[in-house]
Amino acid sequence: MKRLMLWLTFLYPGAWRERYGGELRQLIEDRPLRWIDIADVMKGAAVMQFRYLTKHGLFRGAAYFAVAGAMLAAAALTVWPRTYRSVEALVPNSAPPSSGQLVRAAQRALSSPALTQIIVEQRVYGASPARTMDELLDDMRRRVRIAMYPPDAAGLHISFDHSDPAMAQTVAHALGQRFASAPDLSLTVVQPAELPVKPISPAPIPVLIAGAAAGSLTGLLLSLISRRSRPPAVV
Amino acid sequence: MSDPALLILASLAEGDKHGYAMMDDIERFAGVRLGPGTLYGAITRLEENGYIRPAGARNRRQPYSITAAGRAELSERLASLGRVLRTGAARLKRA
Repeated sequence: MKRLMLWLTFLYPGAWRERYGGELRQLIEDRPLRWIDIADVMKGAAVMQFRYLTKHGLFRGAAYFAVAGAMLAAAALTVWPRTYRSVEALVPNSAPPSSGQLVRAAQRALSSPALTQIIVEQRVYGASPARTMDELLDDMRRRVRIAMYPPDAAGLHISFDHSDPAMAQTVAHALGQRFASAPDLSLTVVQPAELPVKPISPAPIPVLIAGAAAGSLTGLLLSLISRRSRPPAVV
Repeated sequence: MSDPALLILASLAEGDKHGYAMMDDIERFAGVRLGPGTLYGAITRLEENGYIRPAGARNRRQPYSITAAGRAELSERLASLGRVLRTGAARLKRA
């Protein structure tokens, strides 16, 4: 137990250990101890760490860096590529389609010939894309989402993500039309794909929070490193 | 009464002591067993406030002595405690 408690003294701030660490270790070695003393030493270390951080203004440094991190994140948001999503909603005209019918319709709509036609006709990737058609098809499939349409879960939401909102709308509508014209389905478009106004990514709040968190952590680490490089002080 | 700072000041009012001796003394006169972390947390704050100071050369069994400011602080806190004790006892008698 003494060995564990001696090890726990390393949880105290370095500057505090320089001043009192030897005495505390001697006391632990000299006195008969109880298990509750382990919790007491851990609590003492936590209190001293907190005092150390507040006394030396490390939290203030972390706060400055948090603001700087949030500002950097805000600057990054202005150049961050935006992604827009357009959604076309369809509902069945009569009985809801079976899952097998939906899977077959999705396979047809996302088949290579069908998507190639959309890529070429709509110039989804520009007039002369740098990637191969296989790469474009894979990328295209990653941007498509097919979801059941609430609340009755009988309809479908077909969506497409693109950096150009007009392109997102065009492709979502083209895909919706393919589902609507599927031979073994009877679906009607109830909400044509609209021109998206707000991007779905980047989400500003999480990015700003992440920037502030990264900044505060950096500030705290830098402050601790700079404190460690200075001569120890009495806390 | 389990304020570690007050107990340490009361212990050192008798004379210089190191941590081990303080713990023994406090356990004897107050029936309170301070843990090592609590003891050194209180010693840190007391020295920081100028109420105690290391006595003699620095070593791992470092004795501490109470300062004049520490005596004044102890006196003030004991007076305050005395008022609480007297008031509490008087009210208990009346009840």
